[in-house]
Amino acid sequence: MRSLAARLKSVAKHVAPMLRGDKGSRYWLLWAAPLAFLGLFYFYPLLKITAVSFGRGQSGVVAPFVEFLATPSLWKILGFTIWQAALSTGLTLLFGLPGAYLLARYHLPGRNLILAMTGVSFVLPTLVVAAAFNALLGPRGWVNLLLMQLFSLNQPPLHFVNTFGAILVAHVFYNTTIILRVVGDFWAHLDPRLGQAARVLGANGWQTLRRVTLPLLAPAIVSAALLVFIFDFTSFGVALVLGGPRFATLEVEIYNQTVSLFNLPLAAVLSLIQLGCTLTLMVMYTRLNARLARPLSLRPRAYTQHRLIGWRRQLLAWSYLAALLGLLTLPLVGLATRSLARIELLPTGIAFHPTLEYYRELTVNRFNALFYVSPLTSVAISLGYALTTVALALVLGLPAAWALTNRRQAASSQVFEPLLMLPLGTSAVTLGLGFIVALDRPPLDLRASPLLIPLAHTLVAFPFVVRSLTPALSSIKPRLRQAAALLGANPAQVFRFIDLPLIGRALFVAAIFAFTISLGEFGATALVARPEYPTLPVMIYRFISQPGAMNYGKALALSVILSMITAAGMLAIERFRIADIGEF
Amino acid sequence: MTVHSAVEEHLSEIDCMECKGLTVSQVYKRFGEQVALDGISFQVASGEIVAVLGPSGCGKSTLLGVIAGLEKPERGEVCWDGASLNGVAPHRRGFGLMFQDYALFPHQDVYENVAFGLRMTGYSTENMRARVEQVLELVGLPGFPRRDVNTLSGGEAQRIALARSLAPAPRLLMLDEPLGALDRALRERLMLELGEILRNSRQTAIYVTHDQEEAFAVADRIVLMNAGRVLQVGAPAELYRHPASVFAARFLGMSNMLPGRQLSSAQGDFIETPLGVFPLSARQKAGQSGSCTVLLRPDAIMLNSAGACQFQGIVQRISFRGGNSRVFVEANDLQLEFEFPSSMVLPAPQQIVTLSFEPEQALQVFDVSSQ
Repeated sequence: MRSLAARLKSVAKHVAPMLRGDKGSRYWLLWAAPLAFLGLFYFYPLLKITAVSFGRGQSGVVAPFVEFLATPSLWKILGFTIWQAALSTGLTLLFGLPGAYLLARYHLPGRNLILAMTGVSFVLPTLVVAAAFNALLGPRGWVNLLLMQLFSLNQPPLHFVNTFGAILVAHVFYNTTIILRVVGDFWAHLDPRLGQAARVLGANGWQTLRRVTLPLLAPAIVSAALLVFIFDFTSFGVALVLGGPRFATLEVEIYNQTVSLFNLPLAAVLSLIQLGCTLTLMVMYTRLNARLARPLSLRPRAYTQHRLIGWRRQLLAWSYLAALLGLLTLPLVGLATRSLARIELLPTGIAFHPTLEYYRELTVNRFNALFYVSPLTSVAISLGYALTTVALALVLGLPAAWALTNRRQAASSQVFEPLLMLPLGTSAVTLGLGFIVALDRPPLDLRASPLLIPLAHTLVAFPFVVRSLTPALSSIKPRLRQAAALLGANPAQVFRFIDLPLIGRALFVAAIFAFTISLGEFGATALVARPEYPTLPVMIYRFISQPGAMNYGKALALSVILSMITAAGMLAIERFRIADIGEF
Repeated sequence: MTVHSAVEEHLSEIDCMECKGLTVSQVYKRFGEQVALDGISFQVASGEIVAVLGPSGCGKSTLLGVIAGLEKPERGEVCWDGASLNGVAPHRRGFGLMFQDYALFPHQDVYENVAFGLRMTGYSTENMRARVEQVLELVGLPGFPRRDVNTLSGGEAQRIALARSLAPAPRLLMLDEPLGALDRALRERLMLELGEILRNSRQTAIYVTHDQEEAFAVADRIVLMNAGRVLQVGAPAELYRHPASVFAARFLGMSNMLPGRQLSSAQGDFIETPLGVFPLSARQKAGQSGSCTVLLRPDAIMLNSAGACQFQGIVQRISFRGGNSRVFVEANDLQLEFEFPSSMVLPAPQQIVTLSFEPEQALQVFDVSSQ
């Protein structure tokens, strides 16, 4: 890997002619908006957090750090956060890798449907996932109700909610699709002749896997595992609702310190610690990946996939897939059915009544509250924020992706790419906290602005948008643009007739990503949302935290509505997924 | 006058102001430290097909990029009909370029691909359809318009790419290794067809290739390039008969180079080589007397003693190549190779053979400066 100094030097070499107004100036123009956005709404708030944690309080700069160091419970939280993330990542790999293999190497009927179904769980809002597991395994969930009914028990026998296991299961539920996609995609395009060559040279199946296939897959496995780890490490909604008070992650603690205890300096210190951890991980990842990556000639899927032959293999494969789909769909089925049933605990047993009352109740202001916001209004609010986020994320993401794929400027792009991905590694609660401490005075007083939440969501969605667009843009060979120019197309026509049609699908996918991310985002929103404009997840959380069967039912009903909107988006993505390698 | 100095003279004549067609004069282009084009000059007259021939990496594709306006030269000028094109954007030059990998637009069908250039220049739908039909006919693929370009075979894609570049009737069409991606049999067939299509449509064209056979088959004139410089310009037969340098001779497939010394005496001029001393005509003499390199043309050698000059050698190896066979001979510690029709009775390996030639036809002398 090239050293940072060498990189900076090569960037400087590129920057100098740009400043003199040479032809690369258009490249820098592309960067203007995305970098301004990140500077203003990511780096500035982060700096502000740093300033707050260092500069406030009479006891001086170091006080919050001393407080952190002197509080063993905080240490325990940090340790637990790392431990649960590592364990969750290991379990996710264990559960996902066989699936990646199956989907990569075999031509399975319904492959796209399977992938789409696993994808739905990934984009589901954390609160919906928490609610779904609650509906299936919670004290008033289906499994406990059935067990109580069967064995005539008074108490729910199964303790799932507020356990460590609940967090782990939910994390596996969430992130398996990352392994399936990242590793599976790479595996599907890996040249099978490499493995065959090993076999011909006398390696058995296990040796081939260990000595050839796994080393070649290593970059994909490492990058998938890292993504999973980061998501688990910064887990918020899952830990908050399913883990309960005993199992708080750093992210939850930041939220508590901010909202419940108003200890902003300590929250800031915790945010910095969390950011430091994810940054270290990312640096390690780039180093590792540079060492592991090998130039490979990728093959189209049609070439690498075979039919699944033999009943034993078929049985094994399909039982695995059944388990996979079971884990990924049962909670959602539980959620949907539970939202349609009213439960009565009678001395004689349990009575189930099918009902739509939770849904009807969403439109009724029972207590004639003065500042009442109808739950259905929050649907409209969420949709409005989501559409604004889509517009912002595309307007900022398209030029960034465009600049990143400019081959002449590869050196500068190498420096910018990790910068763009930073928000992905920053916890959403930290982002929200940053907005609170930084955007509170003119000229950047956005506390009351309706743009505040879409801006926060755009920050979260931005890396996804860039990631969706760059492969499509870089798959356009520069030759195509040159060919069009030589056939008389001016730059605008080249964009209109060549680039736009070729990235159309990717644009659509990016838009849906931004849309679903905005719909489900909870960490940042929980901090910056104004009480009179709650989003859907905020509304769900309100109902979950209030006691009573009706509030629980309303939370479930809203979760179903939210998950249906996101699922529709995810299915649309699957439908328009970018063409396979080699199909262009 | 030697061939080499004729080239020099030809190059120095080039002047943008008075020419019809394309003029490239003194073009320099560097990539970092690497000099890609080192003072390139040549002309393409209207209606002429010029092949730019050279080994891979000699700067041919960069040259096309400069002419097309995709690359900016550091120095020098590209002119059309005497008017400089420096600073004119690619889409305003009215030139066409057919890429080596064809660069067909994957999201458009055959019709849309071929019609693209017409659409850009504002053709009406009717005229467009007529023109597309016309060029598809010309390349021998009528009835193809609605095919998906991703399903075309190599040969079909090549023809569609040609049709697309021909459709807007560019002032100049450049073809970058147009047959490079095809297999041998297809290449040989298309080579002839391509030349015919270009000639029939009176297309001014630059044909870039590393294959001398292609250049010979297609071009009216050949510009031979190496390491960013023009080595020689001439009609194919002229180039083959009188390569201007050792490099040119080797590149055109003539590899028998002998060390020699030119001698002058009262009886005339002679050349002394390890194979013997042979007479030279005044036309063959190169530069001063003294050390030089002598080319023994492989196609002017007889496998008998009928020629005026003779030498003996041991046959090392015979490599059968279909119609011709290549015979490798060791003579006086020199490794030589000659081509004979396979229908002849060929000697066996290890056999001692007598070879002969007419010095006037078989020898070409290069002075040391033209290496």
